[in-house]
Amino acid sequence: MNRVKYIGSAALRMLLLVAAVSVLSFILVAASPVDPLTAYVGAESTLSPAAKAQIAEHWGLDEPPVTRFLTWAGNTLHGDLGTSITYNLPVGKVIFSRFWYSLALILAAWVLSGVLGFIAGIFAAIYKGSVWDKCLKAFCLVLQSAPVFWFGLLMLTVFSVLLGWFPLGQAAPMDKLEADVTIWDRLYHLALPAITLSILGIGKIALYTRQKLIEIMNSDYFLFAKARGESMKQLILRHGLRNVSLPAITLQFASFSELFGGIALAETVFSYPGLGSAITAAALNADAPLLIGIAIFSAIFVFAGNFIANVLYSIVDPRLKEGGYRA
Amino acid sequence: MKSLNMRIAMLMVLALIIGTLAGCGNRGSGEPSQDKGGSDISVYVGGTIFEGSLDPVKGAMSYGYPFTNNALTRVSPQSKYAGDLAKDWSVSKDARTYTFHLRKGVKFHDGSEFTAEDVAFTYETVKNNQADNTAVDLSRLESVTAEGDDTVIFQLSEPYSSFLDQTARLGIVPSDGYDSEAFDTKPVGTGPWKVAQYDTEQKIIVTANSKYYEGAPALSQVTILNMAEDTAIANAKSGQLDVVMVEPNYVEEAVEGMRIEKLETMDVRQISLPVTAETSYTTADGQKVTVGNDITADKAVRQAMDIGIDRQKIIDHALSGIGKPAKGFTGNLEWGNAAEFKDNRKQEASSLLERAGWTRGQDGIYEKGGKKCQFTVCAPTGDTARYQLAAAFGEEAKQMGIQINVEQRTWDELFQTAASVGVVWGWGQYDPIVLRNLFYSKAFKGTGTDNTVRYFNKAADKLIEKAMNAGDHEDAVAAWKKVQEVTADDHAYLYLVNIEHSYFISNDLDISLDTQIPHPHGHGAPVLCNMKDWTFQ
Amino acid sequence: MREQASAVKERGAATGSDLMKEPRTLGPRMNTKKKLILYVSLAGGYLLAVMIAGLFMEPELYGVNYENKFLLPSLAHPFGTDFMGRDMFWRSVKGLSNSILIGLAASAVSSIIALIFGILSAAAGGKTDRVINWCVDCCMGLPHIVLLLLISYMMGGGGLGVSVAVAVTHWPELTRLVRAEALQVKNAQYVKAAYKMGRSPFQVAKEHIVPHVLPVYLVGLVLLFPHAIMHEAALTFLGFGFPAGVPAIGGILSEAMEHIVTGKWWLCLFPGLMLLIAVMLFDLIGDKLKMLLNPGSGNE
Repeated sequence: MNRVKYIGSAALRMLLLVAAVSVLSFILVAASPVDPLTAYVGAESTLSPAAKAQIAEHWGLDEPPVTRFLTWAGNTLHGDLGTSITYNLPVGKVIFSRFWYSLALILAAWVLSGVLGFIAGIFAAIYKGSVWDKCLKAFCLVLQSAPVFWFGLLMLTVFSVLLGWFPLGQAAPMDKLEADVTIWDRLYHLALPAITLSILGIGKIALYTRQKLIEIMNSDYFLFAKARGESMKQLILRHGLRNVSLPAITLQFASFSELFGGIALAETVFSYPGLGSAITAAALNADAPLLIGIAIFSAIFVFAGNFIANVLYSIVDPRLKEGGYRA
Repeated sequence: MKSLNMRIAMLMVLALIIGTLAGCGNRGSGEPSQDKGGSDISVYVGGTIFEGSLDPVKGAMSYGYPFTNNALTRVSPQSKYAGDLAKDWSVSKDARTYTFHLRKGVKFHDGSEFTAEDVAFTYETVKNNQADNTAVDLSRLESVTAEGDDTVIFQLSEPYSSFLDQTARLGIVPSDGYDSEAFDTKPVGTGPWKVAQYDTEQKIIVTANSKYYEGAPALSQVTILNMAEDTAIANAKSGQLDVVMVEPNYVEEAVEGMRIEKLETMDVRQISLPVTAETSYTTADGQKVTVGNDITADKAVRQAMDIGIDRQKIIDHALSGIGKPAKGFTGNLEWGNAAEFKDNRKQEASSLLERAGWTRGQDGIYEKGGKKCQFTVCAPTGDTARYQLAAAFGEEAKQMGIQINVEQRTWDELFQTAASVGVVWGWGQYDPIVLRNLFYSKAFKGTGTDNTVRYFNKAADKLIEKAMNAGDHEDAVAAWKKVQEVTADDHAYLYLVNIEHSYFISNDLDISLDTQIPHPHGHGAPVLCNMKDWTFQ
Repeated sequence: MREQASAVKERGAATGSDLMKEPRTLGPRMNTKKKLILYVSLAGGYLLAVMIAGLFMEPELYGVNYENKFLLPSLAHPFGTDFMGRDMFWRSVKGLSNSILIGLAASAVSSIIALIFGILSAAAGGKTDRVINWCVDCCMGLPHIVLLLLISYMMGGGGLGVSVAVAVTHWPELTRLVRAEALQVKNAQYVKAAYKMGRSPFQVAKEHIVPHVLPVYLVGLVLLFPHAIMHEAALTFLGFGFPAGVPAIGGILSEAMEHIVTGKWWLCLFPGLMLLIAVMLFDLIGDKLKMLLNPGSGNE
């Protein structure tokens, strides 16, 4: 019963938040001095003023902001997010077609950073104090501070340009038709961007896992099990992993926001056709409908991540089982 | 209990991943399979072609040559207007009625016959949806009527000699089969190419129209790809592309099996130099802006720079030597009339400045009345080549004792400030209307991009009006030429370079240089203008 | 000027390498507190040196010189030169200096917002608390980069747009931190006693809450730095922010991106490394400060 109530209130919160984010995005975009007409017609256009006025009228650029907001909000409620000036397509279509690319990238990076970080963390905890542990720790600290786009550029330089092992970008081989692209082609093209994006989380997960496991290894029940003569492998599997993995997964879900930010950078570096490169293009081309559309979409996405994290959190922490959750 | 929860969580994650991968793998529907024949090529001509619709009604491929659709007229390799779907045309004495006689027996891709009704439909649709089309300006078109199957009459609201340019830019669509949405990706026309496949932002595959009225193209299929420019170069190096557009920064790269081809354009880069002294100006909508510039207002400074700078060196530095020195609009334009003089005359420039009262300061920069000879030159954000040009120009000017502060500004900033600084502009179009924007005194508005130098010359104004209202095309051309002649001595605009568009071309591919028309502004797609004449060995 | 700047730079470089060493090498006699102070001042000194070197640098040092296009790193140009023949070392220093300046301003603005909101939220409670919490949720509901893009778009792009965007988006997390800390002290017996003795809420805040919150606030402030700098770089990398003439690490790297395929590795390696080191040093200062101000957390 409690859980139903919780999910219901969470859904309500989500709706409110999305509404607030929409209004916020619209205000920010509408307040911009950037003239969408220039972006659309081009600055050095020799189009007559009469023609320019017609264009402004068509896009509703000459109306006051409040009218524009009401029109836009009404349309949005009917599922019409407007037309992207950059891609000349309905915003919904742009977002939907690009979302799959971004989702694949985010999930690949998410799994990669989770798995690698987790393994590295356990490894470091077991060999705590050794040279390996120190190297790993230092490496994680560096990864945490490394700018994603810089790391991506280095990956490109080394693995694509110097070694030639990976493609220079894009989501699929250029000489193949969409229908002929295999899943391996996609994974091959996904590899470098995914690794690049994964550095956002790898260090955090590894350090977190390491610390948690060390705490557990110092706990009474662990020491007791050790005294009972269980082997290190058994110990870790039985007592360590079980208690570390869920908090780590929870932490991972909470990283959706960072990942979404990261794709804007990673996709730009690897010219990957996802939402990240689209929102950058939208902001640079004064494409207000697309900018707002993706902003709202990203808010929903982040909320979904936080929501899963909170549900998991309430499962992990028995103290929270009855009392719902806290932010 | 805990382990069960954990398993559920793991399963959820797994399901998510599999779902996504499967979703990605299965997208894309049953498109035509690729036929790897010998006469198929892959080209990269930049991303512009992918950015908008392919529908001529929405301004697609408005470069003045046939691609998927033919227009009434086209631009010839000599930059003159020639008939395309129209055999010939005449203009009434008052320059307000244009009558076109159409070619007979031309068929659309869908097999339907091309008639006058299609022309009327196309023009009416554009006129009614001007907002969708930023390339063709029909705001002065009053009416269009089809007379029988092969005559179309256009009525203009005022004389407009550039109307012919509009007829070369607007491809004709069939009145029966027109579908605004479908034509965005697969337009039906009478042109030499048909779109076989359209993958948003990734590739467009066109196949030859074997029934094209001028004869079928030699190539059977061309794949136009979209990617980042550096990716394109890498792909060219691995032999996967036959035509690659390259920016000057990359031309020195060696690509095996390909040659570099520098194609002629009508695109020039010029720096505007305000001719009036700095003052405050109130625009029509009540905005107060600063216009004019005290340094460039001195004609001696403008002239000294014009004759003193070494244009070739600027091109070598900023554009890796790609481009030709320019001193005006290019000769390959019917109406282009560039002043001819020798540049790099730094001695002469110095004495010119000294005669005008400028003296060299301690730092080598000229001074007059306590004011240094320095001003700002701006390049618009997002165009690195123009910034590089401005910087190279600054290097040259500095040698002559003139300090240039090079800045990059966004277009929105430039709209507000262009009238008080130097700006690197780029102009390259068949339509001479640009001369009106540059020299017509009434075009000055304090803000915006028209006549930012605040040029005023009664003779020029009269000539521009005459050219605009001319009924006869030849008269208009003559008047436009004269405009350039009477304004040349004022050096209001400092021309630097006539851009060349560079491409890596496969050694096996002949892109028929004879039938290439001089490219308009916009590096990339114009190379496709004569693709029907290309041959592959 | 050039000599002065390079002298400053050398000193900065030396301190940077010292910092990478293990603590033990500094000798056993030094106590922990002194060591911490030494680290913080060395790291701070380096960053300050970079900032000042950039502030007073002659633009000529990183000016355009087409004769020297694409030079490999050498003694004359330690980081090489770019496509306009500009010296990458001086550009990077100037760029990093700009980033640090923006980071400073941004942290100052964001932390003041956080301090006010955090304490207000804790002290006032009720509706105010809920409204502030909701604002925090709202800002954190959008991915940070998206929020940055929106604000910088609102400001019309440019350097100002980026600075404002970075400055006004870094408060939510610190607000939560300050609020939590303030709540703790608010419920303490001695504060409750102060209320009972007739002190006004303002006086309580001034006398008890602010002093208690200050250490957390200071550490949070320093730890905001690396985020602010990183976000500034990310925005300029994406094409917002400063025009081409003004060096910024993000802009330098986005230009470098275009020359990777032709093997100009030095254009991206060194500037990025400088940014990385700066970010790590700020993190280090924050961590050490935490230990200094709150010795309890020092023995991790």
